[in-house]
Amino acid sequence: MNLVIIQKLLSVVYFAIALALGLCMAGGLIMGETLQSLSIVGFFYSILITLALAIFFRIISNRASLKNGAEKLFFRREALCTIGLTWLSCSLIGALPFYLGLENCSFVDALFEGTSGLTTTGATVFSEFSDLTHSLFLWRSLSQWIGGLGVIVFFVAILTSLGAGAKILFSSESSAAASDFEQGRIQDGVIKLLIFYISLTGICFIAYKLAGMDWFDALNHSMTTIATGGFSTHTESFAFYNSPLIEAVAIIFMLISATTFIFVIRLIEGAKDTLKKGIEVYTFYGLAFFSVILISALLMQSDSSLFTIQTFRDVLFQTSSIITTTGYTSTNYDLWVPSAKVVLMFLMFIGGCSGSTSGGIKLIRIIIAFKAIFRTIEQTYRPNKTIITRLGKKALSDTFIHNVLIYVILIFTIQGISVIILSLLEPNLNLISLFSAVQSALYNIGPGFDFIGPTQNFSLLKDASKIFLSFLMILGRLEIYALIVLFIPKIWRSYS
Amino acid sequence: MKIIIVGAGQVGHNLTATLSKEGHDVTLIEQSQSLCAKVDEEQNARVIKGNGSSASQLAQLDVDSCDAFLAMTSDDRTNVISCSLAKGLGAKNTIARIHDATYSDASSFSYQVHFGIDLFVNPEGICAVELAKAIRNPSRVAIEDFAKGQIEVQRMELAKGSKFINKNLSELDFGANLRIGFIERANSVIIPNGETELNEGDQLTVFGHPDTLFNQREKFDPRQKIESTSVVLFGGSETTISLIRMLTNPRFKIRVIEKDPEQCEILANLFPHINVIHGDATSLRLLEEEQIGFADYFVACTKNDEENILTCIQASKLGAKHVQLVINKSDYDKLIHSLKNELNIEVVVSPRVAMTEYMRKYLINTQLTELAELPNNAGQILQLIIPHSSPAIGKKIKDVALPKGTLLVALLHKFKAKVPAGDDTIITDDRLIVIAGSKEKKTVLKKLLG
Repeated sequence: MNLVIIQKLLSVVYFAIALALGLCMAGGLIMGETLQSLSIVGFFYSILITLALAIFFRIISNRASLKNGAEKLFFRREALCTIGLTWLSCSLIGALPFYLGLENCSFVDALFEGTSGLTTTGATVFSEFSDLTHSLFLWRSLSQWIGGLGVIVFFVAILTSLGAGAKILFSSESSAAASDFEQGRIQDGVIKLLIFYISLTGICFIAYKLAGMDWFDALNHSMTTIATGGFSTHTESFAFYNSPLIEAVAIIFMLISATTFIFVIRLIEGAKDTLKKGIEVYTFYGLAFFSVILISALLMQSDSSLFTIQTFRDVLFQTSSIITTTGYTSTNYDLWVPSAKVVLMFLMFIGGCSGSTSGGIKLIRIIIAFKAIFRTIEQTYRPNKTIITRLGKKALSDTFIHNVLIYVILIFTIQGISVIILSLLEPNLNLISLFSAVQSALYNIGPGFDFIGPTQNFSLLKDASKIFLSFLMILGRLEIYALIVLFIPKIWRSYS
Repeated sequence: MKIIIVGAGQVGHNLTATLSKEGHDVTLIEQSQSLCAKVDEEQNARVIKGNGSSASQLAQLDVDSCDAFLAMTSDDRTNVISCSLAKGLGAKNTIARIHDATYSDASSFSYQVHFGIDLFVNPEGICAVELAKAIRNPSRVAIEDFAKGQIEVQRMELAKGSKFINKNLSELDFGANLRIGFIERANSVIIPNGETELNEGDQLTVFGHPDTLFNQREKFDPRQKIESTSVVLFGGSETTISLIRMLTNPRFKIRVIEKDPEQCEILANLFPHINVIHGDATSLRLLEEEQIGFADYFVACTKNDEENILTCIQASKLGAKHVQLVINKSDYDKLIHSLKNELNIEVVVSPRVAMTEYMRKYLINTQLTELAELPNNAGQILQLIIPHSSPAIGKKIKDVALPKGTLLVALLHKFKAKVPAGDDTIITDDRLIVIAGSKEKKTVLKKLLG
């Protein structure tokens, strides 16, 4: 294991996080917080701690690299460990401003909030936002915005010194494959992605402002929308505004953010044949459209007298929010008929497109899994036929399909086991709450049903459950492997 | 000695050359006209063009009068048929070259007994023995190994902290497979018996099974800790398979790097405990990713000599502690041997040469071979082959009454070698390794050889 390079990259990440914390502190000061206020002091200490970590890792990595000069060796296991360690430690750092800047905030609560931010889950433990200051709101939003694209992609993949190692980093952290870029150098591709991400956020900010938000809300919401995170500056989330215009803006930008970014970039650039490669995207929009119709029909069937234009607006907003795994709420969907809630629950599993900021299993895996199922069914009665599974025009290798299926099985297994563990930790929760709490964390959604429904929050859970759910959030965000390998002792030893 | 060899391939040709140069009466049977002509021109041996697995052909050559019949073609079945026929026609000693491990696995059915063949030899297996020697026991003494590496010799110091200090040998229990051959103390050499007491600082030369030796080493010298040894094998050839079979001790952490995915699967199936890496070991990146620099042993055993050599140099540059390689082409032999030190390669083995050497040793079994001298001319290590006229035949070892100052350290019944115990019986053609003081040598020879 080449620890030197891992330490170096961690140090880069910590410097960047310290900068982000500094931005939030500055924002708070501009918004009228005084230097003596607890949250600013909290930020100050958080920055100090982060900087100390950054400098510490910088020094030890410099020393070691002087000794053996083996920093060029960067392989898959170093990449996976860097990502796993980055996310674990950044979740802890992300907790610091809440822990140090708020009275009556336990460290576990702070950890849950910080992790929920970074992983773009958007679940909160704060029942009242009145204690939160502007700087803390900014940090919640900014952490989601950074986490949306990925801490590593944001700060590290653009380092030219990493060479091809950046490719491994990118494809291990993001659900997109590095080969999707048409740029030869991965760094160029990542920079293009960053520019797109930042511009999209800017456009979203302007749209929110024009639709009627004040500029602070618009800034925060634009960041959490593009990251499909779901943190809001109001406890009521989007119900606070009750404005069709704002909701329309949110729906449009949530859907764009759950679309494969590279596809959108190509579309804007007018690249040839882009439209032919968009199977996942078309399926996504088809699914969203179909779900809205289905849920509306179900609600109308249950009580047509109550079904108004307002209800349809809620269905439209809520479906978009859930399918993109954002988690904003405009209404208490927990009051809908069970059949409509079941549809929502399925959408939570699926999530958005690969290579976007959304969570969930990702639509492409579901598509491939179904293709594999149909192939197997055909082969049971016609075993001699050679069937090539294709996605668009591209033939999929057996290994690829195999990996997708394993991932689906693995995440369902983890979900099942997690429900059991959570039920032991929380004996008083009912089944639907347990199930949706795990689902909400693992697929980075935010709200769930019943006890943790849209009008509820996670504050009443026990400390152990909060830690466990925080872990699940990172596990889901990193698509399992990058986190789980950290706990395999073999990876840390030299190979034999 | 009259010797008939079937097959003029690399092995057959080499054996013909070696044995005929030593003055034996060698007849070579080969089907290919051109090979026949080549050997006929180069070697002082009779060359017959014909079919080695035809009974009439063999009868014509008076197989019944030959001392050794060697079937050395590259085809297992031809070798088995020829040897079986030759034995049936009355050849004394028949030896078949066998590649397929199916035939040499005697656990459920002995092909050897069934076909009446005296010995199966496998060039890759012999090559693996050579490679395994240094890996299994880095501190072994350069005395010949015995019975395909089943018994080895090692020197160890009785260091401070050992529980054996100031004990009589009769009080100590080393287990069955270990014997202290002789002790060097100050300037004298002692051939021990039950009453010999061990002192701190004694230099012991110990005989035994390689694994036993390794495991017991810590008891003699507590400074030596048993550590796991990481062995990287490049290529999944037959030599590799034989080598893995020899390195069964769990302390060996074995990795095989192999290009062919199908061969990878075969290996992973055969040996569930090892790591099979699919990839090309000539790629620097793969070597770095696999951290070859931390490996204790890097052994190149592919069929491609050029790749073996270059990859070994690469591995050694990356920091692999010990590097060994297999050379198949005789053309490179001398060159590589002369460059060994410059290239940091410790062991170079050629299957063909190792095989010839092995066969030569097996065939030329004079009753008495002096394997090594003890320090200060205190005595000798002898290998004896018990003739049917020996007075010791049928006796138990404890009844032979060997004089004090002599020690039996190894016994080979047919193919199974062991450290002998008092209750083992000596039979015809057994091979014994004896350490005898210079004064006792005569008595020993008389008692054992007659």
